[in-house]
Amino acid sequence: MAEKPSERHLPPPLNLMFSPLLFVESLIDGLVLGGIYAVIALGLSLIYSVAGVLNISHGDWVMLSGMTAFVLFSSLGSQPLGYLQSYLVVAPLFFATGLLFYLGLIKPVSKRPKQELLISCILITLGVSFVLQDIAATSFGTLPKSIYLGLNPITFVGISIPFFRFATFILVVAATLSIWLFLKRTMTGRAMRAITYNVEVASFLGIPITRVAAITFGLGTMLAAVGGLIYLGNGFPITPFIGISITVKALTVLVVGGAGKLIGSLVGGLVLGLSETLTGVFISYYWSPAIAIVLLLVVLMVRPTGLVSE
Amino acid sequence: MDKRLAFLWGIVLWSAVLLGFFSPPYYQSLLIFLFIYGTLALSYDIMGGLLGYMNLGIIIFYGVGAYVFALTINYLHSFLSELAVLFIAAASSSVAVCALVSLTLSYPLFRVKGFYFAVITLGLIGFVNLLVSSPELSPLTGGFSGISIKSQVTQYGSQLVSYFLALAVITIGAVVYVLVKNSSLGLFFSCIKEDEEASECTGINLFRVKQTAFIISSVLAGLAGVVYMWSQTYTNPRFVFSIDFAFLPITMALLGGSGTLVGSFIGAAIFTVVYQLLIINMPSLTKSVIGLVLIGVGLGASHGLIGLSRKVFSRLQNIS
Repeated sequence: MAEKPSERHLPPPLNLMFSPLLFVESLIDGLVLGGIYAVIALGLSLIYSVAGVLNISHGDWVMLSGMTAFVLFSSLGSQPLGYLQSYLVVAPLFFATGLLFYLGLIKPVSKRPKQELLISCILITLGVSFVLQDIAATSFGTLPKSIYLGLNPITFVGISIPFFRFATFILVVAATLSIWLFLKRTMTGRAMRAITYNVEVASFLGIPITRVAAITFGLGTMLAAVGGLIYLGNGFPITPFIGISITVKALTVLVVGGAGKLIGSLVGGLVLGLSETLTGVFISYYWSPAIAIVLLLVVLMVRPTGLVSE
Repeated sequence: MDKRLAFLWGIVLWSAVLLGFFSPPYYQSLLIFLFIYGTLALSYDIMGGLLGYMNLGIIIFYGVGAYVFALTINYLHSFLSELAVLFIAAASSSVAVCALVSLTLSYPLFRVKGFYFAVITLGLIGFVNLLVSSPELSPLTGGFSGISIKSQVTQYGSQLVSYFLALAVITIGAVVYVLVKNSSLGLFFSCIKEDEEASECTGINLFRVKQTAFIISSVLAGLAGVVYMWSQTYTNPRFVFSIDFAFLPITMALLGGSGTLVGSFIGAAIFTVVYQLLIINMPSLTKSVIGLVLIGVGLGASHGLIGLSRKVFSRLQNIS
């Protein structure tokens, strides 16, 4: 029996009753979204804790990497392979861009006292964010862009999960692990941790603060780019103007998890992603962006140092 | 010095009054926006410049002021026929609501400072935007499509009235700013800006002082919202609660020179004129140019144009 065309467009009544299947699916969706937030926020957290910069343009780098990858993907073709190849181009490109961003714009103001540094950095990174938005809007257009990788979903005991959810899980774990190894095992990573702990002592010990901060900026921007690629790969649409809302979410994750801690970004991202998705599914889709500020207020009331602290 | 300065300000005020009478309508509306932005920049600067707390969400109170004003007028206009009484009732209700909201928000907000304060006020903008345009509240606020003052009321208003309202509000803002800066409260503010722990040790009640600053600045922003609503008669959440717009007053205050009265005026004047020229001549490049200006301000002088001119002036004196 054919459906009436008017009924076909009605959304299914999601929150009328609680089904365990829906719960598990939205749990997985929330974890995936949280993983993306965690990768993006990890970059912001590194930049904030090592270079001391509140980077408002962080979300715009996410957006720009998504846009670049979209163009590369469209030109490279061969669905999943083209997507993987775009990582090889975008990640080094954004590392170099972040490095130049620090050396060109942030380094000249980095010697200012703390209060002035905060204000100058907000102004500069906000300016960069505006310029990036205009560049993206003029060169890629303002229509939302999304890609479809053409991979079949995996069905497991009645739960159907898009394949890229697994890929996201692997990518997030790989990114976090490699950053963790970088911070633990390499000299540069150790220098970053030393600067996070105490800048003055680190500079007494002969750590080249500027060089390490520049590398951190590159790394943070690269993480933003990787986050943008995962965001795009999941089929989320990207427009030139999503940057600032991503920045606000990454800042929320940073504060909720605790600034300057790798595990903090991970926990904060997962908490935010899960609570947004569960709110969206079981309470109201409209209110899911509001959960970020509620979380922020509650965490700052109860534990001002963030969820993860010594 | 003080007398000369007062005389100078008197001339500025007088020429603003004259400009209102003799300028063509387009420039009048431009000046109305200049005054609104100037008031917003001042209200930001009471927190950001004097107290040293970056309140990125000052725009919330601007929007709340505008919305409460429109709602009160729409509700009361059938009971109060006298326009002046209606206006005063609506404006005072927006002031009261702004004061109440900031009083309530000050309890959670001032548990944090610096970076965290900036982040949480930034996050609040999105929350208020959602709240105002939510389907639950849309019978009251009009949701996404916004709110307008009923036409039975707006037919009485002329642009000249809006102009003088805007001028009055920015004058109030300037007077409040100067009074705060030169009183003992202003001294407390600069103490807290320099060193919070030390000022607590000298016996300043940190929370009360910060709360006072917050309430003053949000009431001022609410008044700017009242003028905005009265002169435009329509607004929607995307106009007043957008994060892009939220940075404008801050940019103006910092462009001119944070912590000074003239700075906010200069910043607002430059910004309004440049913005208008850009919107007319090259709309697609507006954001880039403003972005480049922001980068320049951030790199060049942390004390804005005022600080820059002071530096140049003292250099010139050293040479001679």
